[in-house]
Amino acid sequence: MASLVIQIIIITLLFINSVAILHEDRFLARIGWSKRNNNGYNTEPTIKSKIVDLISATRTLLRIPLIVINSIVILYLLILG
Amino acid sequence: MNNQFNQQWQQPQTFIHSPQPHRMQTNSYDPYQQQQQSGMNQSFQQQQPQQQSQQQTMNNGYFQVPNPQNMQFQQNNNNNNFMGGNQGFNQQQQQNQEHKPFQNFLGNNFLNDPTTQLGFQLGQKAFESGAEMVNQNINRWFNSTALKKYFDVTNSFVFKKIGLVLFPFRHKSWARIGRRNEQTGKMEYNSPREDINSPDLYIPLMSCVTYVILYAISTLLSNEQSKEKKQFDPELLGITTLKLFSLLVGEVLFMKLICYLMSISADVAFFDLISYSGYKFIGIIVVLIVKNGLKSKFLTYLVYTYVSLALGFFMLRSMKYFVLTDQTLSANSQRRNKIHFLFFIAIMEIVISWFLIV
Repeated sequence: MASLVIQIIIITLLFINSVAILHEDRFLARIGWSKRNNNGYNTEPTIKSKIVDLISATRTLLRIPLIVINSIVILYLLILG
Repeated sequence: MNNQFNQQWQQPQTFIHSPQPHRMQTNSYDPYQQQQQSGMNQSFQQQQPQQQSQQQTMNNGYFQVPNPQNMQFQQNNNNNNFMGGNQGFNQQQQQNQEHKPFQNFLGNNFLNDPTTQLGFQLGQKAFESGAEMVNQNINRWFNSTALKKYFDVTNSFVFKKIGLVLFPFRHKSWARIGRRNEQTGKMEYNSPREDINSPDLYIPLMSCVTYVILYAISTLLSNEQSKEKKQFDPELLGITTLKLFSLLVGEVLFMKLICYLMSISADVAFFDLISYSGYKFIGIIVVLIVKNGLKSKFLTYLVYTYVSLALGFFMLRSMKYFVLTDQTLSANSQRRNKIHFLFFIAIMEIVISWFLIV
């Protein structure tokens, strides 16, 4: 049961990592998901702009916590995994 | 600073040679009394010979003797005054250590030690402030009075609600009864005790527990059928509970995410979402009973089809009243988004319940 909890935590962590790793200029701008593309006058936020907002918010907000949690998990997996 | 440090070490050494029996027994918890006693100490020190009163002067700084050696300490006077309250404690503690060196750490006197008292008080204060902070944060995220409302159920409500989930087609009015609060202006809905349409958390909780037990029983039965003669593993209960819990959390978070993405601005309460995603367990329990009791695949599929239809109807009808709250026709795309959201949630519930049955 403990391993299941750890699995869930690691799955969540990997998912958040995968969102946070998306690069603004190198990747998101190329497929048109950059924040700079849609600074027009559209008042009605679309689903795409919401997702872009969410990705950038994840990157800004979770950068330092992710560094800490990732290093803890790496240490844990090195020692006990 | 170095001189001052030396002085604090010199001071108790002068006390060794002066017999002061009344200071030895300070078995009091009261900080005020200790302050009084430290005050007594000071007055006593003033009656001491010249050498000691000079030290007193330098330490407390109240009596300024025009001594060139003392002048350099006057800059530190403020520091000394600031720490003045602690000096009484320090003196007493050092004396206690002189006379009872071991009991301070191991003996009965440990609890009566002023330093321990100070530590206790500090710890208590820290704990209280910490508990206060935790309470505030909990109240911000989990409104406990709102949570209590979800468990305010009666027997008749539970029976009627289960009947409503299983046979929702004949029900007429799905609107929740409520009134507008005069002070805050927010809508306050009636508790489940008075309103059949209000979501509760009692039925989801109990049906979750029932589902866990039924699932364990059904795996036990299937183990017996396959003649592997596996022993019943009690850990199965814990694993199933954990899986169910994480499934519910993920489901509710997913609903919230979709609400955000589709810019559904309705103030959807968190507990409402948990409650509505928990009602699917009633149908699942019925299907599991049929599956394990009658052992007929055809009947199981039939019951599952009916139950999922009923669940979808129930979800659409009851969630409509807290997702489509504003009746303004101006935001037409908003309304379409919300209806899409409702259909999506109903289908998602049906699919999830299929995975829980199998």
